[in-house]
Amino acid sequence: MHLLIKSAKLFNEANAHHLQVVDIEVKAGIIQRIGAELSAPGATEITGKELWVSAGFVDTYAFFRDPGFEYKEDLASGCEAAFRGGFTRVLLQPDTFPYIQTKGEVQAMLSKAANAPIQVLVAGALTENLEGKDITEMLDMHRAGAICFSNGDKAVADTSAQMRALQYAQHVNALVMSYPNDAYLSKSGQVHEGVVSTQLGLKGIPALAEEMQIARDLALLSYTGGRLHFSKISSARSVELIREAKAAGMQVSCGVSAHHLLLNHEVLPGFDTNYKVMPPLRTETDRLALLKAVAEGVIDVICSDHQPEDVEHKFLEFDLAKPGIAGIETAFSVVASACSPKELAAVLPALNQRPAQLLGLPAVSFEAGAPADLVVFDVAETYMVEKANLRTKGINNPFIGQNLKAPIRLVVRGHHHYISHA
Amino acid sequence: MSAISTKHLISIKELSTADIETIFNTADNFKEVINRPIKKVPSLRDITIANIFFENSTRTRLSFELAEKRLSADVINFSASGSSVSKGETLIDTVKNILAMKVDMVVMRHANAGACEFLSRNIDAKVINAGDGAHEHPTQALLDAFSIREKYGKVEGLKVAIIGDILHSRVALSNIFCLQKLGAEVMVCGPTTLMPKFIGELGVKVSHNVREALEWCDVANVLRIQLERQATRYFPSLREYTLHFGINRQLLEAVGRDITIMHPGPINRGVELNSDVADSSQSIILNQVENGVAIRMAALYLLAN
Repeated sequence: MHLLIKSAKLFNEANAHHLQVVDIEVKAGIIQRIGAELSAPGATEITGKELWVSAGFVDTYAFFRDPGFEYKEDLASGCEAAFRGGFTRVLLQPDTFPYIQTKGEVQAMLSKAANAPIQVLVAGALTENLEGKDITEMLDMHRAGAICFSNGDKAVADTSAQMRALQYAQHVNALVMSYPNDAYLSKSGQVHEGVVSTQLGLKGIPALAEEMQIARDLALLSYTGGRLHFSKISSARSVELIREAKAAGMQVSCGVSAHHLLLNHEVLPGFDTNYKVMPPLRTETDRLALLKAVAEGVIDVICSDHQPEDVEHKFLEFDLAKPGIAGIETAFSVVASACSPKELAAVLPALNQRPAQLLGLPAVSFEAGAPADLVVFDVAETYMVEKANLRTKGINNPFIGQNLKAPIRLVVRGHHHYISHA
Repeated sequence: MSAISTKHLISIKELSTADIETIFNTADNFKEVINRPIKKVPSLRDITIANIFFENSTRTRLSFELAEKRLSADVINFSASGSSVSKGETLIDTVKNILAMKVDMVVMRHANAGACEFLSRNIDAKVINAGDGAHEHPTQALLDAFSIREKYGKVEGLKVAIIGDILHSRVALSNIFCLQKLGAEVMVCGPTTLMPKFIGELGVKVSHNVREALEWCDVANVLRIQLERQATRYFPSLREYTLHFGINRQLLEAVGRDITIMHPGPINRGVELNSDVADSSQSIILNQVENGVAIRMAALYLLAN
């Protein structure tokens, strides 16, 4: 492998060339040179209209369905999809079957993914069988390589269980991930409760279901101490709750899915189940507040919330379809499509630097001699998402057939690389 | 002959006011037909219609079937309860079966909002929604508005109160859209727990006091209350509902206005409506039933052409 990235604007604060247009030579998985007007005979040149280059993206919330649901996705297809989406490090959620809830399952996952193009990171289950009752062997899992603990999409309804989990995780100073969703207020809900749910006769999930759980968890956190991360939030009021908690000095962080930055509930008429997601798509006011909060840093990270599904679970009546978008390949372009180039520059740290920090991962270096971990995309281009070009097994991507901005041109992680010719 | 702008009849939302007028004018003709000694016309000869009911229904299914037979269509009926097979598989399989049987039109009732939309996107046949979850029941709204028009000569400018369980009601939603398109003013009235929080954003008045609603309206469309089918109890008892939201002669006389009473049926006599109201001269409930056949004939006829 010998690559020469030509005239790309670098986004890497630690580097002297940050925000400069540079050429980067990569050979054998190592950054060889970075500077102006480089030439490298024999190298494959990566060129474009207006290239940007950044550290490979880090995803804090994705499901690869392996083991247990390999017909929806498996580790190999998930990793390849992630890599082509610009993600070089991905935290997998424990909602597999069996659940990732013991040392053995953590080790098995990490060893199975050892040769993947991306670095697979594992969140151990927070509670046994994700039932939200008894806490798991977190210390053992942590020693085996689980870097944080999460109950995935199954919010812990039992307050005392959530309290014990927050207390126990502190033994290893582990991050606890919480999907804020009140099980009672959201029961049988399909979409955001609002004028659109009213028009469509679909049972609504009030934003209150999320906000109450955030308020509850923040109260617990101030009692227990520890580190809490809300995996995906969706309402403007949630942003304010977290803004206030951060201002009060609490160790709290939060994420938002890429699709919540581009879509609102007005896409729902037509009952396309690809738009059924949890938390639900909310109002335009919420969307704009989320986008602003990412740029301000109140929302720390943007995740893919990659949830691949097969025909049997998605091609159904709206109420019966599983929620989720298989969006890890399009997540970055979805974010780029929600932003002006200036806004994209402001939210980029939520895709690379901040999630790495949050998960305690080493920062990516662009210095000569460093292992390459980068993504190159063209902010002056758009492309049409085509099913044939996606590597996920999931059929559920509402952006298929749509034009998105900033196609990815190159992804490199050490010896692994992907060049897009689309 | 006129036509309507949509290929299917899935929601009132997607109809134009002109479409509704076309359906009404066509229904006027069919109403005359079904009052003739020979009630049958050959309009839909060689057209095959499948009535597929995933939810129990007596009068809607009968009304559609009668409308189809009056138009000389070939009719097949399929009823299924969702208990034995997973509902999702059933609908997909239904889609495949319809495709294989070369059915021209499908009339479907289903427990899930959007099910008819789903069907229409996946089969060639034309789809008529006979009720999908809490979404819409377009022919009910059309026959309701048609009955109001018949009584008053117009719908525009009238005040219509829809009273009962608004939260779970496809009839309420379709009625709101239909009446608004025709220029009526709409109020919804029911217990706070049976009122969608954002219903006001549809441009309707909201009341939680049945007397207030009756004092305001020209027409009261009273919905059936179903305690038995609710997984969650939205109100404590039928008794309490009747005491606070039931409509009886005494209440109507106290209000002292000549209000027209409607009900989509079947009535829970003594719950939302007392017999002394349902069977009174103010009630047009049986006219609604008769008009239902004419409206459904019109819808079937216009879609088939």
